[in-house]
Amino acid sequence: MKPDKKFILALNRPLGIIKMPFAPVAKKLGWDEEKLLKAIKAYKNLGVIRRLGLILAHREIGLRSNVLVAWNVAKKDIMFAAYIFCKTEEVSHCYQRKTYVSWPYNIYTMIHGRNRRDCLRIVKALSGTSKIKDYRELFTLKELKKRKADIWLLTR
Amino acid sequence: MLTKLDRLILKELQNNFPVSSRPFAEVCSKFDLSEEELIRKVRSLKRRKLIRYAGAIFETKKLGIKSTLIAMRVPEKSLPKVTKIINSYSQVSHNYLRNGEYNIWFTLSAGSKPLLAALLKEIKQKTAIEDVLDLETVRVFKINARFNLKSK
Repeated sequence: MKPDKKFILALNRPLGIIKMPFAPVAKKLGWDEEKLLKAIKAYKNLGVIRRLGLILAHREIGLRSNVLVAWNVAKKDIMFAAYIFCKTEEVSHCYQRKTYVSWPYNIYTMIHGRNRRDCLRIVKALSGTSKIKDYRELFTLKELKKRKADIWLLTR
Repeated sequence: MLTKLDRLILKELQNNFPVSSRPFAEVCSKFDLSEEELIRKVRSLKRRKLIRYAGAIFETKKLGIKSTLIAMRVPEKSLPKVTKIINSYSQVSHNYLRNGEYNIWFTLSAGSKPLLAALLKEIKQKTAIEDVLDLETVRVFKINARFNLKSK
C-alpha cells in the first residue's frame, strides 16, 4: 500500500525544529494534525517510512572513515557470513549483489570507523570470524556526489 | 566536542523520535530539560552540523522505486568528463571515486526496471565506458545507517 504523492512530497522535506514540527506539514496537506500523525504511524509500521527522526552526520560524531568491503562468499556460507556482518555494530549496510566473471564478490558491507586504521582492524576481525579470506576494501578516494534522491521525480 | 547530554539527546531522537503533536515536550523530561531548552539544544546540534537531516526517510523500494549500484572502470584521463556526465543525472544520488580497478561507483534509481535499464544504456553510450558492472541487489540483509553513540 503506497501513500499518495502529496503525502510523500510533504514528508520528504526536513521537519522544523519547533514545538509542533508536524503542524506545518498537516497544514500544507490540508489535513488535521491528528490524521497526519495517524498516517505517519501507519506507514512507519508498514515500513514505507524506514526512519523518522534525527539523521546524524557520522563524520561529525567521530566516525570519520568508512570502507565499502566486497566479499567473495561461497553460496553455502552466505547466511553465516551475513549473520556475522549484520550483528556487528560498525556495519551499517549489508547487501547481496549480482556477480560477474570479472568481479566475483557477492556480499557488500559498509563499515564505519574512527579512522582508516580502525576500519581496517574491523575488516580484519570480520574476516577472521566469518573465515572469508577473499575480499576487497574499497575506500572512498573522493565523494563526487551525495544528495538525497528526489523521490517525487522518481515516482512520477 | 559532544557532551554526554548531547549524545543522550542525539541517541534518543535518532531512535525514538515521538510521532506526536509536541515530540520535544514528550521526551524533554528524560534529559531534565524543558521543551524550550531541548529545542534550543537540538537547533544548536543542527547548526554545528552534527545532525544532517530531521525528518522522514522513505523506503524507496516500497514506493516502487528501482535502484542499483553501478561500478565502472574508467581510465584516469577520462575521469573528469565521465564524472560530469554521471553527476548530471538527477537519478544518481551518490557517486564515489574508489581505489581498485573499478574506480567509479554510483547509485542509479528510476520508477521502473525498464527505465533503469534505459538510463544505464544511455550513460554507457554518453561516457563511452565499456567495462560496467550493474550490481543489482539480490538480497538486503541490513540497512541501518543508525549510529551507536557511546557515552565516553
